[in-house]
Amino acid sequence: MNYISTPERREGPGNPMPKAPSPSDEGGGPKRPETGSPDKDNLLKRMRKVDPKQAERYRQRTGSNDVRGEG
Amino acid sequence: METDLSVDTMHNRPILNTRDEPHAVREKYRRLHLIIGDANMCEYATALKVGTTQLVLELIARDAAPSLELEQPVTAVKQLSRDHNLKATVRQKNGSTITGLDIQEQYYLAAEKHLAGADEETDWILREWAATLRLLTGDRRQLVGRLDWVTKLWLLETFMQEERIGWGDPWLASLDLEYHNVNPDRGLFLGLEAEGKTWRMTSEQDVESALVAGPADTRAGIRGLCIRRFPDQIKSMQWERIQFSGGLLPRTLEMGDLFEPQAVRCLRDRYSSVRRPRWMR
Repeated sequence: MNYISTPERREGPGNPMPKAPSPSDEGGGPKRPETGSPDKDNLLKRMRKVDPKQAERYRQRTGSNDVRGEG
Repeated sequence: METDLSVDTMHNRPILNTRDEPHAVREKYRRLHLIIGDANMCEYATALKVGTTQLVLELIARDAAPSLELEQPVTAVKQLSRDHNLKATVRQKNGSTITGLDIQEQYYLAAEKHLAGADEETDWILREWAATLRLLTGDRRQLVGRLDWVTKLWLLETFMQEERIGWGDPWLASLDLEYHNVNPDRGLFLGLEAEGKTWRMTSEQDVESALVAGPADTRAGIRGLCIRRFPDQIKSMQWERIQFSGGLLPRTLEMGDLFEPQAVRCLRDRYSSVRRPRWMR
């Protein structure tokens, strides 16, 4: 883009967006997943392996009262 | 988010980090470091975040940004981010209230009015921004794999249904964290991505090459080159300078003013052509 005068920052590729179907179906954009709805079986297996006390230990380790506040 | 402005990143996390380190010509540029959104995993969300921020900055530069000022920005961030029905309102300094969607819409309309047609990239951002706002109030399920909070909510609700647990179960807080785990064998988002269910802006090849080589005409590229070629000669490395030991290279490579791409390319060529003497191989 050329709005703000930052010529040094225009040295990279002009358009980072790959030419692929757009989520809005109106032109170029990111690559659409192969199917519309995520298959949940493998993910559920992965989720069940998560230790339910992991967040509690994280809070104790970091002293955070709000897990969502740390990143 | 705990405060609006601060130099911290890990504790007392601010919306806007005020660290004065532009990584560019200091006299011309100022760093804009937005902590909010650090945890994004979706490439599409990252593209929208960076793209819309770029458009808002341009609106501000043109004095064309909507006149919006929240009374308590940090509280508002928490209120809006925890309201997945998108009905919560936050108070503005002028005393009126507004929803998160209304804020987005006002900025979108201003950007569309002032910036549409500027170039291909701008139009892509505007198009995707509008499409996302439409889907947020329509078939939000289509945003799974594109927006993190929608994706995570879908995962958690699916899990709650399967395990017959409620929002009060501490397991969900652990899953909340694990969504962002960057270990490909454990991270929930990366599990979704491995199955090809997320929207990609990059290819695996792009990611693999970026892991070992920064953009060639930047200081990051020089640092990567030195790590690849002279790992045993590096004593210390910062953005401003690299210190070498071992005698193969000058003791210090100053990079404090190294921003011109042509100057970087010259330096890269010079360091690429350094050959180790036979006794050093």
